[in-house]
Amino acid sequence: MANEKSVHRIRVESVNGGADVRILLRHPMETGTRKDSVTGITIPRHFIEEIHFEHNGEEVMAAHWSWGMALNPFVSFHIRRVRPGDVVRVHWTDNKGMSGAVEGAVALSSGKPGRA
Amino acid sequence: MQRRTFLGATLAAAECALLAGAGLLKPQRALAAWPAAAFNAETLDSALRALSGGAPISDSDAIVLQAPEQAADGRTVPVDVISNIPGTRSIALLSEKNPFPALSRFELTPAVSPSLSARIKMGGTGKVVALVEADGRYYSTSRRVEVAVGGC
Repeated sequence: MANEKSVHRIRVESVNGGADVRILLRHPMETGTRKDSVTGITIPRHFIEEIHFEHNGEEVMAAHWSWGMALNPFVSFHIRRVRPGDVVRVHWTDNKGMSGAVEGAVALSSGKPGRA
Repeated sequence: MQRRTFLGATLAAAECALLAGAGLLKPQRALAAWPAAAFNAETLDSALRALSGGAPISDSDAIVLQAPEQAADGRTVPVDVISNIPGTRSIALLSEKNPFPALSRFELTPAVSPSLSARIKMGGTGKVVALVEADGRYYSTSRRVEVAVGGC
C-alpha cells in the first residue's frame, strides 16, 4: 500500500464478518473566522466538503461536510460484510479543490487488525 | 459475489463510475449537491428545516446519540450515533450553539451499519442533534453538552 508516508491514517478491523473502519485525516478545517494570532489576519475558510467511502471500489457511504467538523477529522463506521484482503478507500475533496485519499485492507489472516 | 447496486437494477461498472463522478450516491435521489442552504443556516431550526426540506421531524428514542456531558475543548468533541430506525438512509449532525449549526450529512447504503462516530466543533454549551432520514421521513434526537471552551 502507498500509505506508509500518507498523512492520513486508516484502520480496518474485522469484526464478526464485517469491519470497523476508523479514519483519521489531516486537514486544517478552517472555519474562515479565525484570526492568525500574530498578524491578526483572518485565515480563509478551508475545509473538506465531500468525502466518499468505498469498499472494493463500490461506494458504501458518502458525506457532505461543513467547516464545523473538527480539525484533523476522525470518522468511524462499520461495513456489514467483508472478506480478508478487501480494500476500503476514503477519498475527499475540499473547497479549494484539493483532494486526498487513504486506503486500508482487511487483514488476510483472521484475528489481526488490518493496518494502513 | 452478486453485484448489488443502489438502483435496484444492474448497472455496468462504467455507468457506475460515471454516476459516481456526478455526485453523492445519486441513484434514486435527485442529484445531491453540497447543501449550501443548510450549511449556511445560522440557527438550529433553520438548519434542520433546510436539511429536511421543511418536512416534519419526529423526536425519536430509536436514535442513540452519545456525546460527552462535558467537553473541555469545543474544537473537537466526539459524537457517536446509532440509528435503530429501519430504512435509515442518512444521518446529519448539528450543533446548536455554532455560528452555523449544520455540520455534516452522511448518506448510507445498506452495505454499512447505520452508525457513525465523528468529531465535531462546538461553539458553546448546547445541544448536539442527530437528524435521521429513513424511508422518506425525518427523526431526530439531541444531547446537551457543556462546553468549557468554545471551538468555533
